[in-house]
Amino acid sequence: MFRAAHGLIATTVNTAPRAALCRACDVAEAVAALAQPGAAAVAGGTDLCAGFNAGLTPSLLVDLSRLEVLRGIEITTEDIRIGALVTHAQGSRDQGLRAALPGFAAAWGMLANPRIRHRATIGGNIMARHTRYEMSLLLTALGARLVFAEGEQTPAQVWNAAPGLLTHIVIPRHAGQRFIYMRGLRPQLTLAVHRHAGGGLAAIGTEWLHPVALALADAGLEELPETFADHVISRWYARRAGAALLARGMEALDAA
Amino acid sequence: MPPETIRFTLDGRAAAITAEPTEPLAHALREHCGAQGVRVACSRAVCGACTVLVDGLPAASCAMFLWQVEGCAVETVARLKAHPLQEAFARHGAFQCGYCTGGFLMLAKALLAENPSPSRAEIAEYLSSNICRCTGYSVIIEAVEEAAAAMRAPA
Amino acid sequence: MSIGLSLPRADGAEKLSGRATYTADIALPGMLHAKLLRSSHAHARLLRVDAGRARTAPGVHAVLTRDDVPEGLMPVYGYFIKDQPIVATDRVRHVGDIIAAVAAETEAQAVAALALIEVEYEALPVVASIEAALAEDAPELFPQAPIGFVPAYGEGARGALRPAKNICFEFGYRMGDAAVFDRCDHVFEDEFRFSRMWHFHLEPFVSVADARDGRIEIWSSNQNPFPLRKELSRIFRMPENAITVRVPYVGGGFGSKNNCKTEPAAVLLSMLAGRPVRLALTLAEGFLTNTQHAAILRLRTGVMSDGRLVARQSHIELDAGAYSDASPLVAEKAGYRIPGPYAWEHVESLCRCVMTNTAPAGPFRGFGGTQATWASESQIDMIARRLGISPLAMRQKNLLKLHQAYMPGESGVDSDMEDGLQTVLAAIHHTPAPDRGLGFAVGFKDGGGVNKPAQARVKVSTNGDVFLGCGTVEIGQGARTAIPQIVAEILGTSATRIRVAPIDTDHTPFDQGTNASSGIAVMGQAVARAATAVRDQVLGFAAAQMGTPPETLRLEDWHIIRGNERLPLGPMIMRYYGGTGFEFTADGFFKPDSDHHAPLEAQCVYWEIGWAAAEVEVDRGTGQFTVTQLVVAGDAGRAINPMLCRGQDEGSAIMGYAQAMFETMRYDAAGELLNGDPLHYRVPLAEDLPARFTTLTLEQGHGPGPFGSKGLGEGAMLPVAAAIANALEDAVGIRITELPLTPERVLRALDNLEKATA
Ligand SMILES: Cc1cc2nc3c(=O)[nH]c(=O)nc-3n(C[C@H](O)[C@H](O)[C@H](O)COP(=O)(O)OP(=O)(O)OC[C@H]3O[C@@H](n4cnc5c(N)ncnc54)[C@H](O)[C@@H]3O)c2cc1C
Ligand code: FES
Ligand code: FES
Repeated sequence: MFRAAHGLIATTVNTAPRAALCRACDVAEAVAALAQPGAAAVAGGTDLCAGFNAGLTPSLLVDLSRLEVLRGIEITTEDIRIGALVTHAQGSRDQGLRAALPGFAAAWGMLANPRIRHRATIGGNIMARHTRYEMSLLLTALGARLVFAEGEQTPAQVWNAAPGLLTHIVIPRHAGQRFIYMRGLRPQLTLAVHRHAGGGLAAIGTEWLHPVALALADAGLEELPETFADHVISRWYARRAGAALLARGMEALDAA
Repeated sequence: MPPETIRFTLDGRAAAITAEPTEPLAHALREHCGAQGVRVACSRAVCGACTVLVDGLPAASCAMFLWQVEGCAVETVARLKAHPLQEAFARHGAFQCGYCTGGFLMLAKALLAENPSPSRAEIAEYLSSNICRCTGYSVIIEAVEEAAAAMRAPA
Repeated sequence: MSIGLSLPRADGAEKLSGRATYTADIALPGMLHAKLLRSSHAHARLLRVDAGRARTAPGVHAVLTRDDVPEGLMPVYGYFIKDQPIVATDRVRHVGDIIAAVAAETEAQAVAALALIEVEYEALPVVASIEAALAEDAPELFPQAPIGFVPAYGEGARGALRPAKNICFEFGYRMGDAAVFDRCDHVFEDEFRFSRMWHFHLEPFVSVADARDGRIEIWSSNQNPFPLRKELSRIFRMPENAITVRVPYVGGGFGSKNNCKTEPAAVLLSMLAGRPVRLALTLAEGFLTNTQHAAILRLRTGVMSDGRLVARQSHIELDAGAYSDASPLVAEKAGYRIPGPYAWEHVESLCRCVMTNTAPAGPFRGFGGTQATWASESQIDMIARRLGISPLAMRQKNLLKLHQAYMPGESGVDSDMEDGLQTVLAAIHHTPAPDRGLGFAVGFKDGGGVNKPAQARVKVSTNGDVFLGCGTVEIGQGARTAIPQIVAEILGTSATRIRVAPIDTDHTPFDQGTNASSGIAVMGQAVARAATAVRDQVLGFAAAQMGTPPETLRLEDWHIIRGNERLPLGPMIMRYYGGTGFEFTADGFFKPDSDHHAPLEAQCVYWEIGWAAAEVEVDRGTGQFTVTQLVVAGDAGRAINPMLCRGQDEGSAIMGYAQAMFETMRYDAAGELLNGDPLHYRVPLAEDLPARFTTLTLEQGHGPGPFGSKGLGEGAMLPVAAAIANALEDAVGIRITELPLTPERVLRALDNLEKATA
């Protein structure tokens, strides 16, 4: 269903926009294609149909699947570099990632469902820019950087900006790094806790709000913005339940 | 966009569709290939009624494009012939209105290919990819358990 | 031979191969595809609807706006109140109200053309909830009274159209003397809120209409083809024999596919285009088409200190949405069912349908009984605890006994209520622990519809091949499997020899509709009578041929059995009727007798009961709780096919569970549906099932249907939410009176309890 100028119109697979196709063979070609007006990138494609339903009518679809440089996970002592085309299934099962940051790999493996995980990519999850999709929250807690062909951004910036091609996600590594994702109240409220020798960060999100970073020391979620409420949960509840989740997350990381 | 000829195999046979490659796969399968068993409900990758297997992996065909299956093996429910899953679904009454059924059968087929001995919890998790509004799921889970056992048994 | 067997479903071969034909699979030569333009305002005057540019858009063959409705039609529909226009005329009344339709060669062209239609709205004040619609200064949503009528009611019951502003209908029922309240030791007043669900039938609404040459042929995913035919005949002023309704397999309905939805628009487009037209809605459009009724229920209940129930006054407001649809009927049911399965000296109910600027509400599995049971079974528990009586003892003291009349003039209840309750309690293995609790409830509704007629035809060929004509739509419930089992049993043949004829109103015997859990208890009786009549014809024929009294003969596998003799019928038939053979044919009819002493003008056919027991565990930190066990039972009377009974009970119970836990439509004050898309509207998935989930099909044997059967399919949904709310109180002492039972509500209640006890 989308809001046309004068009313609502429901779309289906039979009404998809007639778009041209660019099978980009390298990053430069993809970037150039995406710079054209009406262009949209296709990673897994699992969310584009939702975009069509919401009235998105791209005239050019840019298939990223041939961009091998956007695949794979590289782990160094400094950071974890994840290609934007890595699927949820691949990423969550990656041996290196599971060794380096098991809590994150486990969280990644919980997103969506098995049918989606085979196709959906980490890049598509972020770039779909749906508050219901969780990767942005996980990466917020991890202090990750999003690397675009055009430059770097933080997960928070992406909600507003209109960047081009996301190529990699970079998660900095820290001594004593641990991560846990509390997802039991999803979709109403979720919370990720990231701790390391030098500090850490939590992030809290709801079905309808942009995730917010929290200081680990903020046990009562005092700093939660006044506006942190949606039509499903109140700020009062986000604080109360969020504080419980944060405490439990910290405890679980202590025990681990 | 000029039409292209997209080649893949559909239910074991070679298929060549001349169409716009950016057509949604579900549309192409139903309209050009007569794949009636591909049911479209939500058009948004949520319900899974349109689930097909692409190179053995389950995918919502409403959320894929024709070009994405180029050179792939696409399987719909029409591929199943006296399959242990169909037999178990019949025995357990694992369908009612039947609108979700093709999607669930394909999903379950993919599960059993990936994990021939799934636990009940693993089945429930995997089947949570799709929606059935009629049954309450228990019977579908039981049918998949039984089919898994039948498929493991030496012939 | 057939009854009581879990025979595999007769539609298995088609549905498991993907070959089953649903309406969306119907394609006619030259068929066009239609799409709709819907209102983006919840309430507005339509100043201008200009479709000029759409009419000349590529591929467009017909455009339907208020200016295109031919003179002389009656372009409004509804059950009792004809208030819903095919396309909006002067105003739009909810977000999603239909303003225009386009039929084009492809759906994509239709969408493109719709985007060219210009609409000028003048926003009107919006009332998006019951409270807003009843406010002193609320706008009048229907300044002019639509055509409407009040059904006939019997003793104690009454109905009225437009009793007050923004109320399209009210139902009242009264029994006994209100003065008994004065004798009560306690009078408790409580208010309950019931949330609103969407059916989420997986097959969206779809119809294919061919309206040319003075005839209408329509295929539609619809649960009642005959009422649809009647409505189309009225709208288009055409004889009913100029209209043929066909119903292929239906991909779920749960109530939504009753009566008429967008069929008239498809017909009108086909008339305008001179070509067949398919109008397929999307799943998301379903949210805007028909929903469950949200409700506010206020109960005033008088009791004695020992727990005896004496009197109950109920005041129910249903959110009927923008158009009346089935609201008057739902009001009747909610108002009539609210006393629950208990003995009372005085009952007074008032149930009003409040019009709002939200999607039209209509039939939904449970049909007013879900709302009523939620409030009633919550309050029974609350009262028990207030009096210091166990909720079980309270119910034991007051439950109606088997065969006890529900109300004066009404039929007796045909289930042993206490037995059902004890059964679910025995099946739940509850061990007390901190923050863990047990709750239960009894769901209750009259079943089989009101005064519902059904006809069926059974034919048997020379070789004993059986044809069954009956209008019960195969919507998933298994009608095409279970009903033939009844025929098979009576004819002494195998169910696999019975072909159910496709539904086509020209040939199918009349049926009022596939609803009210009436397939077995009402249609089943018509079918049983038809089958019995055919059997008697055959035995009569054989008796005449054999020169023996028919009482000495039996039918088995199309053989006549006399003592040890076994004579094949085929040769006997051909000897008499000739080599081309013959068909034995008979019709069967059933309708409960009209009875003015019965409150609803006919006694209820049977009582549909559901018992639920739930165990919950509460997390005091987040307010989240899990249902660790859920046991739900229904009484099938006699299970014609136990596998199908289980399927109905489980599906039904899980809907009740989802409503208790999370499933709800959320509107804002501007009438905007906030989660009206399949991703954000949460329905249960396999992983959401309670860790232990069991349904039990009881066979208490007192049903009026064939072989002692009753209907099911709704009963198991009724008690679930109240059982879970009751379990929450048992676990942590909180009472939540509003659905769904969200973690936030639980946490708030825990907080309030702590403050109150501090
Ligand atoms: C039914 C369903 C349930 C889901 N449940 C969850 C859930 O529980 N939790 C969760 O976190 N997520 C969930 N998701 C989201 C899912 O995890 C996917 O990540 C998401 O659907 C998009 O992935 P994709 O690779 O298919 O993206 P696509 O559909 O290909 O793209 C999505 C958007 O991102 C853009 N895009 C994609 N890649 C790039 C790139 N590299 N650079 C620039 N732009 C790009 C596209 O143009 C498009 O606008 C769900 C999705 C569905 C359909
Ligand atoms: S129709 Fe494709 S997932 Fe629902
Ligand atoms: S059988 Fe109807 S949705 Fe699954």
